[in-house]
Order: sequence, then C-alpha cells, then structure tokens
Amino acid sequence: MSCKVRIPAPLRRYTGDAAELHLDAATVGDLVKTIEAGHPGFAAKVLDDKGQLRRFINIYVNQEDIRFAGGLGTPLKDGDEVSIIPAIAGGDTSPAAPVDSPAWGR
Amino acid sequence: MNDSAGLLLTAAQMREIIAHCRSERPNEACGLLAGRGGRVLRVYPARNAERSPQSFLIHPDDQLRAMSEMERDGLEFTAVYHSHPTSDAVPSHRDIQLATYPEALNLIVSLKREPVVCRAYRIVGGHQSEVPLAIEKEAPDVRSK
Ligand SMILES: [Zn+2]
Repeated sequence: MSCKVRIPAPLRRYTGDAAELHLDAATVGDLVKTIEAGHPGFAAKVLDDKGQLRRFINIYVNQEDIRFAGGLGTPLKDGDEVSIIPAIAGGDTSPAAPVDSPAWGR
Repeated sequence: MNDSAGLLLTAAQMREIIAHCRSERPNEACGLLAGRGGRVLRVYPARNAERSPQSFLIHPDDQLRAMSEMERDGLEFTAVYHSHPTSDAVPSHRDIQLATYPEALNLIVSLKREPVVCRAYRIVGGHQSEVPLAIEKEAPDVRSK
C-alpha cells in the first residue's frame, strides 16, 4: 500500500529536502511514525507532546482534511495522496490575541 | 524561491486584491499569490477561516487547492496577502510570529485610510524586512513563459 506524501517547503528541512515521499502505511498516524523513523525530528513538527495533530498543521488525504475524517486513524489505501500543510495565519496589531488558539472558522 | 528581491504585480492584480480586501471588511481578508521570480502570475483569494477583524487564517481547503495548482503548473508560491482593516501596512507581532513559509513574501493592504496603502515584506525566522513592491500596467503572458 504505497502512498505519495507531499512535503511543503517549511517541513523539507526535516525530510532531507525531499518534497515527496513514497511510503507504505495503514493509517495517517502510522505514516507519521514511518516518516519519523527515516527522518528523526519530523513527528515533533507535526504532532504535539500528546501525540495529537498540531493546531497549525493540516493533513489531507486526497482532498479530505483528516480532522473531518478519522484523524490520525484515517486509513490509507494504495495510491492515496497525502498532503501535510502548515497553516498560514497572522493578525492585526493586537498583542492580546493568543497565538496558540486560532478559532477554526467552520 | 524568489529570484528577485521584491514583489511585482500588474495593476489589474493589485485592483483584484484591494477589491477582495474591501469586500471582506470589517474582517481581514487573505489570499495567496503564485508566480515566478517575484512576478505574480496568479491571485488566489482565500476564505479567512477566523472571520475576524484582527486576525486571519487561510482556510486550509483553499490553501491546499491553491498550492496543488501551483505545483501542477510549476509556479512558485510567491506571496501571502492579507488586509489590515484599521491599522497600518506593517506586519503585526502575530504576523511575524506565525509566518511559516520563508519562500513566500508578505503583502499587506492597509484599509485604514484612502488611498489604501500596500507594502511588501520578507519575514524569516522572526524578522521582517520591507522589500520593493512594483506595479506594472501590462499583464504578463503566462503562455509565453
Ligand atoms: Zn497582519
């Protein structure tokens, strides 16, 4: 079961500059572990210390956001395309705005 | 990566971006710009998932769609744009802290007063520096590239 994993520029320094990986994994969580095994340090950029997906990281299987599918347990099948994309955010001049708690508007 | 130091847009692209920013008021508007060597060839208005007058979060679905298209068409991720509905066109503390894609420049549109003010910045590793923003009249021809 081989999946294509697209790695965006901000995370490539943790994958030895690879923009694309082809890996076998049963779920998205397994996939992150598999990448971590080959590229130590990668998982920490994607998961928090509780092993949950970081707030500013989005993972898509094909066109579907895994937060609205099975999370890290989302199953993968042969030929799936996985995109790991750090969010793009910012704010106006409001120092009071908490940086770590964006309200997902949906 | 961006070959030139600054950001180059056509007048039509700039009008589109400003119109998008105005239409989202009082909330911040945001979007992505794709191109080559600092020259913008495509504008991707995005939804602000935070729907807030003081912050933005590019809707991840819109981000994925734009970035997939850039990859498919061999375009660079040139810049992120967003509006400051009531403040100057200067990166906020949060803009600098949350900048994720070092290869992309940041275009800020201030709607604080008329005429609107647009400025471009490079934000890398918690530091920002202003870069030249040039507006040209002729539309670039993507097919000739
Ligand atoms: Zn801002």
